[in-house]
Amino acid sequence: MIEEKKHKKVFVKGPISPGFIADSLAKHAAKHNIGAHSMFMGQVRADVKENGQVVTGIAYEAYQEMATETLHNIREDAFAKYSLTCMHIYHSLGLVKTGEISLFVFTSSAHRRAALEACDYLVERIKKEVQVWGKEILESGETVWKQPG
Amino acid sequence: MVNVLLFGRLAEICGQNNFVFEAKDTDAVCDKLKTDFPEMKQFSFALAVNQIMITGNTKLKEGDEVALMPPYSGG
Repeated sequence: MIEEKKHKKVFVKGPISPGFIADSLAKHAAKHNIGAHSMFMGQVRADVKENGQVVTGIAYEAYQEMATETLHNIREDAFAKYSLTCMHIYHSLGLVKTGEISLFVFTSSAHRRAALEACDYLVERIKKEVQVWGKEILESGETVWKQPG
Repeated sequence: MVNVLLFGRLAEICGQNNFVFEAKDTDAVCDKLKTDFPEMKQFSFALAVNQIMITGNTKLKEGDEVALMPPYSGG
């Protein structure tokens, strides 16, 4: 992963594995200017819909070119606003089953406040501004478009 | 001709996620889709031309990419 690449790879096919998350953390052990990490993981929840059907997964799609540009701008804003050493964002495309991870935001800084606040800031902006849509898959096979939230 | 991209529920309503047709502006794109697929009228969406968000009617030229995007629901 090249840190300074203009548009970082964000989208991954299927769920983000706990192993990938652990590896991401491990890669930072050599960066001795870091004193704090903050992580957010979004996990697919087994919501019960109005018809009593339970969500078994979410299928994600994106307008990838535009979403990548939007994410680039959000990253730039976060780097300008907070004193960060590192920032990583990954979002799933395609099917992610209940209990699996679909969004991973990882910030690192010298002191905890920047990492914590930047992580929260990123998650809020990603949810509001990035061109991604989720379709909930129910037990019966029916689908429901996920509401923004 | 312009390249029209549909996402989320809008692609489902239209039965496909990509159309290519003649349109002089973004209003013409929306009008055509709402005529061909009346269910489109029930849902709000944002528009982008060549990946830039627009508000209000925007003139189009040959080869422009118009995206119709329902509210985002990632994460």
